[in-house]
Amino acid sequence: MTRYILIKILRSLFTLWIVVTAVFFVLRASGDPLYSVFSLGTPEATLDVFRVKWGIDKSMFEQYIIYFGDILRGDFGTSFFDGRQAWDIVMERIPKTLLLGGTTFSLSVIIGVALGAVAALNHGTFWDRGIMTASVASFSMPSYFLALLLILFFSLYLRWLPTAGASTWWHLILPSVTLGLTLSGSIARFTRSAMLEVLRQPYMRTARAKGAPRRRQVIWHALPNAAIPTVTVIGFQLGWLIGGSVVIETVFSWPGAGRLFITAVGVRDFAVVQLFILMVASTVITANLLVDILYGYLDPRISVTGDSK
Amino acid sequence: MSNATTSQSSEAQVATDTPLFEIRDLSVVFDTPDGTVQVVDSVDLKVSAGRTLGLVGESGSGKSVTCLAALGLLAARGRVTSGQVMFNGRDLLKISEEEMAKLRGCEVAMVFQDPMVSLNPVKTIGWQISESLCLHQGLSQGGAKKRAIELLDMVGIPNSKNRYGEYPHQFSGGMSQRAMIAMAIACQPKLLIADEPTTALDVTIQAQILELLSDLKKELDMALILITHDLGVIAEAADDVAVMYAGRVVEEAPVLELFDAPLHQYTLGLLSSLPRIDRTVERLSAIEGAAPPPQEFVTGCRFEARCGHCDDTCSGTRPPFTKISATRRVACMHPVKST
Amino acid sequence: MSLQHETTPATGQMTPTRQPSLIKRWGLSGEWLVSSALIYIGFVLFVAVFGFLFQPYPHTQTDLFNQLAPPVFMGGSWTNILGTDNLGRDVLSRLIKGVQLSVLIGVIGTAIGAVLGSFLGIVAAHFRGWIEEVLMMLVDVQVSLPFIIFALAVLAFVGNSLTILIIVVGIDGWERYARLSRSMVLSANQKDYVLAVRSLGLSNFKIYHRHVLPNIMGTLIVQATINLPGVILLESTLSFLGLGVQEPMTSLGQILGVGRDYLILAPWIAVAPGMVIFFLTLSIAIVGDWLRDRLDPTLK
Repeated sequence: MTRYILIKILRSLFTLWIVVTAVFFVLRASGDPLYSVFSLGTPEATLDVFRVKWGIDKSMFEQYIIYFGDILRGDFGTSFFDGRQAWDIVMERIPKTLLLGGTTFSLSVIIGVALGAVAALNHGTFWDRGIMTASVASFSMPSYFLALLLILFFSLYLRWLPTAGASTWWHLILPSVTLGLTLSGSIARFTRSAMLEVLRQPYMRTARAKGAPRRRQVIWHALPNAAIPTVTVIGFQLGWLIGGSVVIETVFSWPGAGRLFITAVGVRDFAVVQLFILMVASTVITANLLVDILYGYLDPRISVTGDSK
Repeated sequence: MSNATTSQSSEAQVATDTPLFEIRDLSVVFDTPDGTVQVVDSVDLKVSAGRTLGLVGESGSGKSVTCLAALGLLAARGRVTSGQVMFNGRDLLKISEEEMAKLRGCEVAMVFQDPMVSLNPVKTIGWQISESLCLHQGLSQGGAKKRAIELLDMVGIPNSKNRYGEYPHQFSGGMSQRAMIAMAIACQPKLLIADEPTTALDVTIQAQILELLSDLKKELDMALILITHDLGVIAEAADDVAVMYAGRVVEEAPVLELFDAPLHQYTLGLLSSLPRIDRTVERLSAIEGAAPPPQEFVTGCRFEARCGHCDDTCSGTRPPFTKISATRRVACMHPVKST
Repeated sequence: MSLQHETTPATGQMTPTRQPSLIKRWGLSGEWLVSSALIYIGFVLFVAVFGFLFQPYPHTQTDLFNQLAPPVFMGGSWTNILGTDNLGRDVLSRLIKGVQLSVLIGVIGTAIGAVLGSFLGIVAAHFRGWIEEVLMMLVDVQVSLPFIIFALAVLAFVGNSLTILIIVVGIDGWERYARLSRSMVLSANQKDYVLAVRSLGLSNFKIYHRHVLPNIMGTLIVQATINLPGVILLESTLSFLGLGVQEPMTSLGQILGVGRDYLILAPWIAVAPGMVIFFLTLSIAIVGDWLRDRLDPTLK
């Protein structure tokens, strides 16, 4: 088991390295970043000063070596725009992003799993069809459009909730509902199919034959089995959530890292964009790693063989 | 065959007893995309305390469905349309699901065909056995564990203390079935239904499991319903036999009488396909054709198409399940004349 | 007890009871849903191809004296059925043009992803070894970065043109086809019929072309149908954020992006394209589900 986790960790680090490298070169392929910072008439002499200052006078490969060395030392570069450390710029946005993402994620998991289980337990009934229809609708809906509709109704028409910002708890409602609807829709769908699969297994009949009451069958016999595939899927949804929050933070002017990313991308702020991507990739990779480890705990068949594939 | 000989003496007395478990006129239908099909058609079965009833038939003859329906374990698409299931003077089809749950695993228990998939893969064997004990006998965790280990010993699982905490995938097929049996007998049921308990196992293991079931039956004084398609298993372990064909019981007899003098043409056909040591047969004969699927069940005798002794009386009307003697019944218009 | 059966009428063949089962009823309502979805998809495709015939005005034609005019059902005039936007451009005309480009990008993008991913998957399954390792590593990389973040970065830094947008959108989801085709080819290569034709000395190309591909094609097409809504949504999101389709071209997401700024004054600008996208992706999702249940229940 330890060996298995160790290999997983090494593989994750390798993946992260590829992401960092790929992003570095793809972003540099866009040409001289100075032209997007300075206006056209700026004298070359001034530009050269900044080229040396920001280290972009050297060859691409040299820059990469320096950049990589800096990362290892914990230096993520400075923003071209306000000259502050990229780390500071991103980190001051993280708490708001975690607040929105964390609320959305935990609510969606609870609601999604519950709805999916209810649908599966009432397979083929009105409830099942209703929940599944809502679920398909929820992830067919462009999230930014849903956001606009909610703003239109709750903020502009009813005037109940604020449209933008993050100063009070009220501000949290619309963005997290928007993000959460889609997320819980897809979690519900996966939970349902996992549950349906489990419910038709012979061991569920054994549980009934044993005289376990209905509630006990579901909670103690079905859910632990259905959790195995569901946890993987929920792990993968984290990436989706981060991608979605970039859009939603922008629509609701939520002062989180996602909105920062959109701004930074717009002005081609290398250091900030690179750091953001690095952080997103490490979050997703870590989450997948945790899911792999959790898998070993949920499924006794894996911890013994030592390999899930 | 030795089993059957010893039990023969008690036959006359048993027949007059009220049976412990009796199925009367049970019919079951399944909902399918093409409408409903009837898979069990007015089945009558009974088993008395301490006896073993062998329920024999081809796959699809409705023998498992009959027992699942009797315990309320049908899948969602199956429905009971008529009948009574009397157990200890109560009709199991009339009682509520909660009462039924209290009964299942306690007074009536069931062992299934494929032990490897019938055990919950994410729970330890011990947990699964203790569960019945906690549910029905209100034992504490510690008490349940102690009792579960005893049960594991009882069903012949070596090193029971360590195996208590192991998971089903660490058990072989035979060991899993022993664990299933331990789970079923945990609360000392009055009736154990074993649905093809040996079919999924190696031939060498099959005999051990049958022996275990017979031993436990005696030890715990249970009644046993043994569902099988294997006449060898019947001969070895059953006291009485009910033969099912295409959703109906076609013959009912004590085991020796059935093997000695089958009355239904289908039973005769089945027996002729077995090698016998007490008779010299030129070659074994198989029954021509195949049993009809439920969609093609007819009202008249369902064996007619494969039977060499049929005439006009066989089709159209269901052959009555006629009492031949105190212990024998047959549903055939032209029962086999004794040779 | 047995006597009662003798009185049952001799009907011969037992007819199943005529009572509509649950499954049947579900099937019926499902078909109703699927037909509506197909009709809507057909309508959108028709608009995408022939819409220019009915387009009232050029989609770029501005009318500064007729800005933010409401649609007919909100008290507007029949000259602009769905109203006008901030520059007095006819929303209906822009919608028709937007449908055209959104559908085009969606379809071509999906095709790129499907072909690229399937090809890589087949190559990996054929050569095994380090080629397969590299591919699986690329899949890991792809999975580790939410695609929209990658797409936004590329479009902002590398530059933006319709070609780049289509390629970027097309890359989305390649790893799903790659995984799928890889595992299917791996199992197909073990099948008797493939081993048989291989022993006959058929060339690799012919084996894949004639024997393997036809067998995995159905699953890949179903996967493409399931992916299509995602691709359409991706393009619309990018355009909404201003990094997708650029003026003077227009797509549904781009119209929505404009409408967002006029949500209070002129909600119709945003709502009309939003509804079109929503029902389009919903319809494709419904049809995709239906196809999967019909053709390939193994897909998750």
